Amino acid sequence: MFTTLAAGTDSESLAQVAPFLYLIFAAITILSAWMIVISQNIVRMAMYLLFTLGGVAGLYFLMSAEFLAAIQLIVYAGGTLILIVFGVMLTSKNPFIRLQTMLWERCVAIGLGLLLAMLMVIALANTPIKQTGTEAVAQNHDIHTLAITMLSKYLVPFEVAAVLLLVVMIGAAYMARRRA
Amino acid sequence: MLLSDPQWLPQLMADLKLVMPELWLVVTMCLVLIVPFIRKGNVILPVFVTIFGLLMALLASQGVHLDSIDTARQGLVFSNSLAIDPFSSLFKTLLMIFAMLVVVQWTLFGRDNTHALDAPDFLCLLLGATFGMSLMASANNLIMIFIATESASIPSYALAGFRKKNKISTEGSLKYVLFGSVSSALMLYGMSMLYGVSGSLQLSHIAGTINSQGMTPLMVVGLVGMLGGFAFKLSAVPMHFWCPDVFEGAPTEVTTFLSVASKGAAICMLARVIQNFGTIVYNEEILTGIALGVGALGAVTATWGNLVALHQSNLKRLLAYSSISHAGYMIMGCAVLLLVDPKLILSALLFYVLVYMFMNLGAFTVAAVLERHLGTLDIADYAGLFKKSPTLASLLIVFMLSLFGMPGLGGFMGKFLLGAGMIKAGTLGTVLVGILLLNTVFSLWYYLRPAYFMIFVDEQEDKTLPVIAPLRPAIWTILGVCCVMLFWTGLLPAVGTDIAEDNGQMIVASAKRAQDTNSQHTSNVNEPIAKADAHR
Repeated sequence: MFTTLAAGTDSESLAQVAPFLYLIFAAITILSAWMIVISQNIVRMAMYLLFTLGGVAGLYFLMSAEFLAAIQLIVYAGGTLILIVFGVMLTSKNPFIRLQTMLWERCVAIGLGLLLAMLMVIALANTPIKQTGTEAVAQNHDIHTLAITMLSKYLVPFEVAAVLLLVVMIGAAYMARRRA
Repeated sequence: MLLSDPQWLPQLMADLKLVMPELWLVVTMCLVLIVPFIRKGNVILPVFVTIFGLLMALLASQGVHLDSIDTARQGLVFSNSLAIDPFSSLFKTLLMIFAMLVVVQWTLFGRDNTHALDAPDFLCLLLGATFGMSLMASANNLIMIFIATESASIPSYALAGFRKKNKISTEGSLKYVLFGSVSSALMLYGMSMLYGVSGSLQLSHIAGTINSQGMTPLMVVGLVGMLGGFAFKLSAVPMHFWCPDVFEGAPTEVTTFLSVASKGAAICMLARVIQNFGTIVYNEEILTGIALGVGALGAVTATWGNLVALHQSNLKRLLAYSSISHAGYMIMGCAVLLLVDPKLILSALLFYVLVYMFMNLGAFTVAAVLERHLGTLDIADYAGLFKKSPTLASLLIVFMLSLFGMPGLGGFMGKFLLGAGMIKAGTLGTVLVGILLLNTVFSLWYYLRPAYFMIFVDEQEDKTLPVIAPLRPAIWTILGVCCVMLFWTGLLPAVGTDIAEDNGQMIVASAKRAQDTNSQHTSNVNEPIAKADAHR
């Protein structure tokens, strides 16, 4: 399924819609990210997070990084988000708890955010970009190549991640365990 | 692809031999988890297994010299993701020794506060953090840097909150987690910029991109983001807020471990990144710019740490701010790595870590004794301690003076070597040495405050100190070893400096080699094969 989609990228019709799709996905991502920050209800925040993660997955699809997009949907939108919602429900008595922020906190946050955004825009505008994302990714990056690279060239980070998960599990088990 | 290469498997096996220390740590971690099934509730058995494993890792980290490594492969293993060179090996040796001492310290102090069944958890987390730090010292590409940092950080969060019932400990741990995750995100963001600009994860190749494209603004943003992540591990100034709270709340042996091992590993990582830039980038202006940025970070960190330490009344918090300023000195050392003979600075850093390890171990052990027997960490409460237990008080004074940099003690030699390396870096170096000296003079005030209270202030009538019960011989042994090491490195530094000098070499992949391994969209980089010691 992924390969057909990737092949479809070359077709002219998709190339024509791609910019519009990009704008739509980008708008979804940014607007819902904005709503996460603004919203004061933690369950709504989780819902908006779902839209953000979905939007990012759409962007990955457009860059023909299908595998990454699928992973994004399965792991983040599927797994992590459910976990967050469960966490909210289990930890707070009232799942529709409101998070209040002070006015000055909001002002500082907006100021810092604008400053960082300006910095990024200036940095991007002044940097010559040689390749676009699609060109960089669409070089035979199918799942087969990915799997082989992961188990040969990036074997060590892969294994270290496994050890890391073991340690994390022990730490979490210790923290959650009830003992006198 | 790599798999079609017939040399793939033999090469993998050869590479595995070079990461034996890490493999031993992982094996020990699993053993520590299995051992409780043999004798449940026994603490000594897992402790012995841990010390044995650390000893094996220590032995495995020996014998890495630049000559003994296949020159074609240069000790860069697993597709350049790890660099096994004399510098990282000596750091790993120090790390294993230190971890062993911390395990001993824990058996002496922390065991009483820990449930016997929790002992394997503690040791496993400690080994996990050691594993991450040992990888941090070798990490040579962005993925390894990130994952090694996380492997070192996440167990540390759990270790910092190990006293679950203690409010301060839990608060410190939570702050640590929050700061840690934000700085990890910052580091990842920076790394994604670097990858976007250079199209490669290799440090050497990213440095090569600077040669071909110049210092683009996006590159600057990426480097600053990555440095932010490093700053968290080093507790450098804008990212230092977690440090005092974690150090105060965590069990003392965890504080000892974090104050030396985590900062030392982060310094190794920073030094490796800077060394890569220093060997490959040839534009002097860009190099000076990077040196200036890192140097400013170090100078601000050292000065801020010292200024805040001036009015600390809690011994552990005082030591926390002192560790911030020491990290600042080491960052300043890293900054000039680009401008002078790297061997000078690398060996000075190794020597500094060696001395710093014993100073902090000693000071925190005394703090643990005082906390346990007097029930207080407030310096003002130690009035009249010198008359009651002169040996303990004198030992604390020795460690404090060494942290200050008293001639004749190890701390002085550490600062001296660092300063001697820095002074060769032109105007910037001179300024940094000036800041180092000024900070050292300032720090005398707070390092001598405990001594002042212990010797010159008389015990108050209403608050008499409880008599310190005779300490276990093992505690005296730890303190004695630290004290002897400090005098030894201070008065006869030749042995230590020789070892450090022999190991002050770091391997840097030539940009050409990085280009070969990264067959995907590379830009034109044609640098000569550069070895750290051969360059400049």
